[in-house]
Amino acid sequence: MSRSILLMLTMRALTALGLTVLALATAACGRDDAYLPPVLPREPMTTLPPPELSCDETAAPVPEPFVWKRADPLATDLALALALEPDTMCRELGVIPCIEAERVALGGSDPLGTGLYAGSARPGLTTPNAVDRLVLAACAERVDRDARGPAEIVTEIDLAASALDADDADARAAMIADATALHRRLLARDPSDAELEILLDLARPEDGLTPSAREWATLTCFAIGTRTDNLFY
Amino acid sequence: MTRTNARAVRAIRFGGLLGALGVLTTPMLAAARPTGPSVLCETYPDAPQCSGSLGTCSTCHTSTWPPAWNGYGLAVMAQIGEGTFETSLPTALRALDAIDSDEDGVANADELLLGTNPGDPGDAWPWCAPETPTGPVPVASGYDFERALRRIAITYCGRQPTYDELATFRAGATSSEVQYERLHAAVDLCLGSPTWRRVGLRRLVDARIRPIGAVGASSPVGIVIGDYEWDYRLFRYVMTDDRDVRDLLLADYHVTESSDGTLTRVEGRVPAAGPTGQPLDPERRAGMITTSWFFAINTMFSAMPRTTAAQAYRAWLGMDIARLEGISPIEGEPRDVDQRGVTQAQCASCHSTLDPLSYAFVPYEGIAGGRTGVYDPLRGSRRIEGWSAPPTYLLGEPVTDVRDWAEHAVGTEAFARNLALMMFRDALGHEPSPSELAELRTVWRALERDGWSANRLVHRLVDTQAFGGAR
Repeated sequence: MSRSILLMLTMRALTALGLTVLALATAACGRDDAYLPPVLPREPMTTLPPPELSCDETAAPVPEPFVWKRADPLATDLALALALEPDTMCRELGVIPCIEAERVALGGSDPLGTGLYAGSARPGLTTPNAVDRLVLAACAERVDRDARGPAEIVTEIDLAASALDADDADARAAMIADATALHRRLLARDPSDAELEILLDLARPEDGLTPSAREWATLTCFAIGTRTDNLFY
Repeated sequence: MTRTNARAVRAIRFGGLLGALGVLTTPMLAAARPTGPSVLCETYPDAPQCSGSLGTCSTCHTSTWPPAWNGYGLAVMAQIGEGTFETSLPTALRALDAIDSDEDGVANADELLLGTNPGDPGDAWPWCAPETPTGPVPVASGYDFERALRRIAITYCGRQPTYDELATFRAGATSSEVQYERLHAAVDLCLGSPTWRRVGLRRLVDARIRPIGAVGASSPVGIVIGDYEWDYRLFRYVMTDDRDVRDLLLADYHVTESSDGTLTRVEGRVPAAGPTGQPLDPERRAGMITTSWFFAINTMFSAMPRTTAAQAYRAWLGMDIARLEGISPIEGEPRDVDQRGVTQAQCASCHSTLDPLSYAFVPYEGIAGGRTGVYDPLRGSRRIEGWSAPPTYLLGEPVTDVRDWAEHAVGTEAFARNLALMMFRDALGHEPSPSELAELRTVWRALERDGWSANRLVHRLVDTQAFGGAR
């Protein structure tokens, strides 16, 4: 049987089905309440008391714990924490402020430009990339400025050093002081001992590579700035 | 499963088959019955969807055209008895109180009282209403003052508190009274900050003003249909300094801004050569819903300003007719004054509310160059053949003109609810959950007691568990 004959038979079957449905519909139109489902046999009505809420606290959902810190407050907090200007701390191609280029990904709105009157309801797929981009660029800028001097925030470690020894008492103290300062500025709190140890570990060699002091400072700033408690509140 | 429950399930299954057939046969079916939501709200006045709102068709329907019902709707239909749909519906609804029509573990009455959909198995919230605070300050036990401070600072000051500011907040705060006092001092500080007054309030109202940069007063292409900055300034003025928020819809004045950000009220018309002025006499003004931009962007070139009325209803009363919210049909409507075919059943279920909501807006010009937003009592007869100025209705009540429309609107609970919801979403970034609706209701119901102040509303919002409850 050829494909065209099969197609014709299928079309005829569909047409027959359509006509049947049409006939049923036409019959239904004769009734005033045709769109209602038929009333099924039911129990006699009784007078019910007013409804009362029956609580089940064991099944209570967890309340929404976080609010997303979106584009403008995120950029403002970063700029204030790192003593930078929001428009210059991160620029795409050296021209456009990241906060404008990544505004939508960062949850901001753009009412006058693209007519986006409200930011997206929740972070999207590119939000982590945009956050990483913004924070890393701002941290790198801060460390660069402090390396050129006079240092404002990363003041204790030697930013010219090719490596930092976290097991050396003096270097360790300097690293803790700078990490604590970054914690206070970015998260408005002191770090825990466990958090400090993680940050100090960033200075240790890995895969044969030892981070320089500038790289450690940038990574430390980045690690703190991208913490959940900086991105949500 | 109880006998009644089994009967309801059978009704659902049978109804599902019928619904599928209904989808195929819809063009020839009878008119919809949009009175359902209001009857449901008369039956359950404490349901969140009925508090400051009218409920939605989606409680029972998965679609109003073609008509299709969810499990709850089918169970209700199976209970409809003698008499008219409207008179028998309350009994039918109450007969299903103890049944769990969507089998999500929560009974229908509980779902209605919590604000979830009794016909949607994916929408359930087995939760209890929060307890009323009984301590020395009006917040529940476990309230996290520092978390609340952080939220206040980011939302209204635009930045998080610094390490030193948090240390100051903690210093010597040995009682909840002291913490509470400091917290609300921070609220006052932030609500007076330039960030909130100049930026935050703008973002809050963007979706209601709906600016379009390309055709605003600073149009980069030279095509100007209006100046939405008048709208932003009016909103910012009304929402600050404990002014009466009812002026959002009642203001018969405009607002200018000096270079230092000071907002000043100006009376009367604001003449301009093009569409950037405000041409209305004060007696024709009704705040945000009678600015030139509002008519330009909503009425545009249409004779019958349905979009204008729908946007006023959506933006300031929180009911979106396109989402089947706020349906309050008027007998004899829609008349189809402009012969657009809205009397067809698939249109009439919404237009029986929308059209009588719109008539009062007809005399206001849309986009018309220098006449944009002008009041012209003859516009209806000029633009609509056979125009007879039929009566306008808002929420079932007759109103005489747009000013009267606005006065009725600000007197409804929907107006206060909408404002509280707007502030809630802005601060917390989500729709209130059923567990949050009860305390949010206390917030908007206090608006009148608080002198209709937006700032006071924020203070009350900050006190809620949703804002500062422990994680």
